[in-house]
Amino acid sequence: MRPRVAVIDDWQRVARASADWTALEARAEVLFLHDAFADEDAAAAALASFDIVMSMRERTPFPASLIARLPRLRMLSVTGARNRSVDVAALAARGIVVTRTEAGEDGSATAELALALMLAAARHVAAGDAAIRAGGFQAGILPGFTLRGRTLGLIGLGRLGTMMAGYGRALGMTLLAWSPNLTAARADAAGATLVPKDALLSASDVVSLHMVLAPGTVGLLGARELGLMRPGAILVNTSRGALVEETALLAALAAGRIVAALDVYDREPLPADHPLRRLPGTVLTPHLGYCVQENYAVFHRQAIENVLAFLDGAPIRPLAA
Amino acid sequence: MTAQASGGAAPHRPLVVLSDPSIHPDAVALLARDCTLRILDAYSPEDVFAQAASGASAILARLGTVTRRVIQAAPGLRIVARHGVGVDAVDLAAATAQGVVVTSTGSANAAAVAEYTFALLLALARKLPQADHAMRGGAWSREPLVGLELEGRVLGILGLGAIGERVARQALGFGMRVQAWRSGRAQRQVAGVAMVELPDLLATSDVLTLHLRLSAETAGCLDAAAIAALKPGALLVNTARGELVDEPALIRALAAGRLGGAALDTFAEEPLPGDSPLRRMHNVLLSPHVAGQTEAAVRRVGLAAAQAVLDELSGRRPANVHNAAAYAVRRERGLFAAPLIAG
Repeated sequence: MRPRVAVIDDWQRVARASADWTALEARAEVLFLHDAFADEDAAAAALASFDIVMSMRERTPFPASLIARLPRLRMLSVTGARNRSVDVAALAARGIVVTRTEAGEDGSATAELALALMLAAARHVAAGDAAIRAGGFQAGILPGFTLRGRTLGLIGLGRLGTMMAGYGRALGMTLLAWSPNLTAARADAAGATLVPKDALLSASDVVSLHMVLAPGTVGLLGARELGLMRPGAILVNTSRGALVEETALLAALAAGRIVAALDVYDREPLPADHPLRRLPGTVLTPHLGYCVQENYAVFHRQAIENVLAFLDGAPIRPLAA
Repeated sequence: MTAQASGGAAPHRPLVVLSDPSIHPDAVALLARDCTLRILDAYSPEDVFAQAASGASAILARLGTVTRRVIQAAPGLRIVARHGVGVDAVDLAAATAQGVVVTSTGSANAAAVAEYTFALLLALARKLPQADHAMRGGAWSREPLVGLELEGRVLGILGLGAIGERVARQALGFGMRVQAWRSGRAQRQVAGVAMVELPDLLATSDVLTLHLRLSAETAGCLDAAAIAALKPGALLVNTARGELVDEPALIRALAAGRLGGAALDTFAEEPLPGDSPLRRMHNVLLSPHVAGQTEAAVRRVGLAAAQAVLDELSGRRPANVHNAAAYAVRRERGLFAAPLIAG
């Protein structure tokens, strides 16, 4: 019997066009699923009849509880090199093969979106676009501010943070940086000054997050930290929603103290009735950081290679625990 | 400024050498977007190959062999992408020592090879070439064309990988009893296929078909002793590699009538020499290493090999790397850290 393959998380409906699926479709029943699962029950019901599931990044989590409800599952293909939302041990205990892929770009996609969000927030690009489409022109659009000469505070100065530093330098911004393990020498090499976290928050006109989510970084910015930010300062988050305490952020935004330019959220997709959707002074994008053609081409092509290799009994690209 | 500086504005396009002109045009076009291509004549002499490879970043190898001399002539070589399932035609040790990654195209031609295996088996069992040949000669001679029925017979599969498994499923569809032997690694269960020890496989199979990768361990595995252990009158099908079989011993067994016949697509020496006794034996069916050649497979394999080259040159790890140790050599020696093409 031909194996059944579910290509899930294809929210943008781009999976089919991003790669050549003919080799896989010759050997398996391949179904593309375009909607996010409302909860684990919905995921379990939708995926119970599949032998192989191909997911996108961390869109649908695979905790042990869900894995236990997928009796037919023999292989899970995830995209990207790391995945915090998959319980690799629970999969291994069942003998389920889990594979990863590489990316199609070097992190520039997400760093460039951080730059875009910073500029959009500083100049009210989204509000202007909405006003024009609604039949208006300048009415209701607040004046923006120039970034040249302003201070950009980078929380996290790894690969992506360093790229963002380069963009900030090109704009003529002053750069501050902090992360738990950042050294003055590394900050210096990126053209930034290493300062304590609180000093960065209180001195920056734009704060941009470039940290991975880990036990030590959950809720890195809470009410106290957000309270240190300058009035009217922009918080850019293209990393992970949980780095910022959501209730504290909502309160700061509701009070009009700061501006947020966000690509990532505690819960994705962002619930339809979420208060963020109604707050003024925000620029919101639907986790588009890595969503570029280059990545989808490599994600899907390598995921297909991984499934074909699995079907031939010689799996490649195992996901590390 | 010097001529070199004035030409420096053009982006550097890495050189990819193709072993012969038989690579699918879609694969050639895919490579040509980012690379300069040099396509050699089929079975070019080693010195021509080495000369062409000297400035190459990648070799896409279908026909012929990539020898130590070719690899050592190419200090900038990052990958030898084999067009096909085997990497025996590449000097792996020389490649690894130089940090050159060697890839195959995995199972991209598995369906083509498996289907051709059955085409050969059926043609041999039912004397199809003889029937066609006689008809074209004006004959209508039914008496000599009594064949062998496959249903109920035992098929022995030596090597149960992507190809062997497909052959097994086809055989089960014909009502054959199927048994297999597989070396090393975890035993893989295929429904309806009995896993047996090698001596049993040889002694009890009516038809033996080879689907092993050629390596130092498997070379000559069907030697004179193994051929002598085969069931009298057994048929042999080889779409894997000629070097798996002791060809002179096979020829003797066929000439003596010890075996019922052989259908061979691969040979110890390719092209098969014009004076090979195999060409004159009536219980032998021959084809020129074409099992993997369907339009779909040639395109798929070509694209897979081209993609391996593009992955490697853009700094990613291709699928089906056969010498992961090459990456360790690179790290030690600080080689090839920067990608040559974007993407």
